Amino acid sequence: MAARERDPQKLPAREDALFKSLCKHYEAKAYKKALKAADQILEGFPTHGETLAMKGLVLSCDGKKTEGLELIKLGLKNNMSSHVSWHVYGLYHRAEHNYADAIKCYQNALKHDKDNLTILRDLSLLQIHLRDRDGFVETRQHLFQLRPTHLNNWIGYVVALHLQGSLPLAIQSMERYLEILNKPEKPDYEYSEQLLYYIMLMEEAGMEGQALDYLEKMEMQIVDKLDIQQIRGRLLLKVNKAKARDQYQKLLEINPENKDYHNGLMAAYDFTSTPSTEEEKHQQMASFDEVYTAIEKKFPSSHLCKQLHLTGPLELTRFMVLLDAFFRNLLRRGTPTLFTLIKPVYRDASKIPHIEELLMSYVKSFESSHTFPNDSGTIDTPVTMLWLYLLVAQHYSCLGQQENALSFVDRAIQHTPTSIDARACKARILRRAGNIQEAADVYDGARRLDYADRYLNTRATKYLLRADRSTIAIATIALFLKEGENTLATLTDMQCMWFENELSKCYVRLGQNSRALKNLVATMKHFDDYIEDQFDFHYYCFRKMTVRAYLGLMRFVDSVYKNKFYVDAGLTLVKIYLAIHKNPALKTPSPAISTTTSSSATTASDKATPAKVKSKKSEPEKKDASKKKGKTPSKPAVVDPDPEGITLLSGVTAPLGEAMKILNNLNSFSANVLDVHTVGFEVFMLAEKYLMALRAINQAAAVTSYSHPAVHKMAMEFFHTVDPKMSTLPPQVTQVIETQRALIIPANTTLPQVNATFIANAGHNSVAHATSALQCAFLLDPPSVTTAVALFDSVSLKQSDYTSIKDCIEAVEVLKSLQLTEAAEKLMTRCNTLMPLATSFQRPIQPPVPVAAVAPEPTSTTPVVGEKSS
Amino acid sequence: MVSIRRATVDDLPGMQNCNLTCLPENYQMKYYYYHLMSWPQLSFVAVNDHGRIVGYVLAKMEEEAEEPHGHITSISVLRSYRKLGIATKLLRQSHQCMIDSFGAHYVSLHVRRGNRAALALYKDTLGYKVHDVEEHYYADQEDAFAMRCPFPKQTELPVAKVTPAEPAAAPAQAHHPAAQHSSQAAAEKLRQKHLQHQQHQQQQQSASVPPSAETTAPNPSAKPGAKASTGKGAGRGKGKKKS
Repeated sequence: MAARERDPQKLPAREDALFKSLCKHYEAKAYKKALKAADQILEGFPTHGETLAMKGLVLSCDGKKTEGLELIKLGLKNNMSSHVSWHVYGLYHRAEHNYADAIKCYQNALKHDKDNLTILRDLSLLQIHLRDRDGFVETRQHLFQLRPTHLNNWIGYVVALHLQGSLPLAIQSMERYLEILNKPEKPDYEYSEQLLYYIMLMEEAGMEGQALDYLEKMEMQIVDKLDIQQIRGRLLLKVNKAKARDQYQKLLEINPENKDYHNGLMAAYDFTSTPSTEEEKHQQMASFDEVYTAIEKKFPSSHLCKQLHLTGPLELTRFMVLLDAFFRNLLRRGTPTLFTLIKPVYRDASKIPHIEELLMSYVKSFESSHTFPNDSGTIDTPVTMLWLYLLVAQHYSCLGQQENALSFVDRAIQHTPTSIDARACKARILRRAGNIQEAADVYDGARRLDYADRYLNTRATKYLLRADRSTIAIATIALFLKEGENTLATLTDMQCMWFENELSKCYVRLGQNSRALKNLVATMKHFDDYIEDQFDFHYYCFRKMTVRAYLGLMRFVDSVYKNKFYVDAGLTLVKIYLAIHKNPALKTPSPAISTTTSSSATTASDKATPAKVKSKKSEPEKKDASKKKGKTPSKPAVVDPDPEGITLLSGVTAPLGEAMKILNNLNSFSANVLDVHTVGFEVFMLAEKYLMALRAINQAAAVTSYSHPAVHKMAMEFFHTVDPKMSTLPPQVTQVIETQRALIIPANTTLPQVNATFIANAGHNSVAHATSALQCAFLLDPPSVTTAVALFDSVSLKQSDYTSIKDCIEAVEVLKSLQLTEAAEKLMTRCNTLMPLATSFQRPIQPPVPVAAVAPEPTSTTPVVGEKSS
Repeated sequence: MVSIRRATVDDLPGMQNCNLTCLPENYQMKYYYYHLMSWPQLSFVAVNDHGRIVGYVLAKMEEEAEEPHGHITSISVLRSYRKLGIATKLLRQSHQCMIDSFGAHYVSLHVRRGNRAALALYKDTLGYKVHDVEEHYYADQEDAFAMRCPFPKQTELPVAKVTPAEPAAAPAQAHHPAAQHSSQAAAEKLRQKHLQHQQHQQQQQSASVPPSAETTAPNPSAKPGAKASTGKGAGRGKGKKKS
């Protein structure tokens, strides 16, 4: 007794009770009361470590982080063997998102109290959050052993095993668990989810038979009626195709619009296999037609059934009959997306002339008798004609015949000047034809026909950004935000990534790297948040028993970087870093801004003024709001100290290092994207990471082939640079390079010879091939440049679509940069003849992106825009 | 081609993007997580040939309500994919799953007073009726119709798994009820966050989801295992209800 009283780290009963109330107040976030209790204890026991630590924790939660941390550390120093103090320190780190440090603290806490359930559970949350799968299993197993009767501990342990990849053990444990569990009298959601989780485990382990048996046995207990049927379909497809057919027919009755069900059905019927003989082929066609004719009849209102019937293996005459019916039905219905629905059919080029013939017969019939051919009984409403014109326009646009497309879309607009869809369609055609500026005008005109539709606003904004009109674009998208809000901050807050991406690309084109960087960094941060936001669910999903969904979340987070926006933003970011590395002067944008002419300077001030006015207006509102809420005092009304990203840009010290960090993620999750490797190659070469560069070449070839123009150029550049350096490189490196060289470059061949072969064999394939050949010729063997340049006179230029236009623009730029002015002009003329609508080829010897010319041009071609806006 | 199927977590970024494209009411990713982690059965997507989400319905259950019922948090279809009946099909799938998995008696939603196309769809095609008018519901002060669509009475279907909040009944001995209770507490917690979030998007303020305040205080007085983690959750739950 006496000894205990003397120990300053042990509290007597009164203080102990106070300490408990301190903890309670902290939990309830009653920080003032908590502090009061702490101070009361400290009056009598000023060195009590646990109280000091708790007080520190409360202070840190209350916004006094530095002071809090000091107290926590002091508390810990006074009582190093207290699990409470360690736990508190861990909680502090956790709140600061220093998860690794938090784990260490929890582990220290457990040294002094190894069976503390709360700490074990907190530890497990962090372990899985950081994907320490083995540690998670260990902790979960410990919890399970301590409290085997606790349901969540069972499931927690099973999920830990599952995430670790120990499927057999997970299945065993789950089986035992379900045996012990009392079957509820009524169907019960949580129980049902557990049964389905068990089935999921078996399915993943390839135990289809057992999974099926179990599913049959427990069916009545499962409330997710849809998923039972879906799972049964998948399982049957593996073990019994005849039954699978029936099952997928059943699923179609639930939802005929689910393509997975159709895929299942087709797999069950073997429609997806390639027949080996002509006879088998016709048999397959006949059988497919029979099945899908029946399905189409059974689900007359399903578009998907009709489309799948149309796009499946069919004899041509039959196809045309079905297509005719499909077109008539949806043209009369007025479906803006009709062409998109039917587009997969165009993959079979032999069908295209027949489709065109059919469409022309419609046009002829409508223009003479206002109805479809051979349908004289009905007179169609005039609006059908509009949809017909649009369909024909899209048909031509898809084939690259943009002038034809334009003439039909203009007829549509003439027919119904108020049709938004017609204008949207025209904008798309113009964009494909290479007239980005007019496309933006036209789409903006469409937007003005319905101000309430955010979709139109979104699209118009995108078109404006593509046309490099950043200021107008920002003002446009702001129309859908509350007045007084900082547009960019609000959109970032809502994780509006498409906008950040398009805007940053636009800024890069305008040479405003700091602004681009600002937006790209915001996008990257969204992905951090996507990852961070899983945290609460490590706990929540086990309470809710939504374990299957939880596993989906874990897997989603594990591959979150494969998201298209991440790839897009990442690549743009890497390109900026590359530019900074090549020209460090870009980091200080002041001279850059002054050089970007007066037009972009006004751009900047245009943007700044209204934003400032607005933020002033909204300030009092925001203050009120923060008072009301009481919490999150640091968040509202924070003025961004670096709205233009200038500090951000000047803070880039190791651009290649930054670039490689991003490339690492891109490589791990998006190795199927060619640009990841072409851009990566450039970075690795500059950083003299030759093995990485070589890997980029091989990965690019895996996505395409070694004869792809981009890959060819990379390979040539690589060996041209590295061959002379071989003696200076370490033997492990040269060995790998030698081996790879033998695979890429034929034996006893020089690099100029390889390029000569490329010129002869592939140079004529496309503009991109010719460009690559020319660049390599210039690099490796200047005399061969003449041969390479000659390619441009004969290379086949594809009819215009957006990618081929981009390739041509690039070719022209490369020619100019190599001082081949004459060849450049010749190519421009060729392009202009072939693609008269593309503005880039209209004015000879002008940079392709007209920045200054944008604003004042009146849009005389779209009169309705003017009418509406006035 | 457009395929209509149940949403998975992988669809959420696409749903978020579709929502930002079409509607003025937007949400952060965590709110989407919350829906799918709470009611994985109820949200559906329409996907085109390139795997792009062209329409979605984000739905939930109102678990605290007297009568269990579903609620459509958000639904939209890209303009270029309209006139295909996608919204109808999405909603019907979601409705059925509300009935099957959660024994919902009806489903509710909010629609702008001026959105005639949507109103017609809900009323005439799907059988919703205007239940109430909420004035100035939207950020731009437009009124909302609160609509409801009754589901046919289910006799053999599971009824009301969703337990209405019971008074905290002696959690001491049995583990199961304790666990359930704290699950309610957790739900309550997330619901609170959601409410804050709704305020957020209604008032369009820059506050974001509150810091993950799952911070369980160390409970030094508790001997190992005295009450375990569940007791804490219950305690927090009570605290919330009082306030």
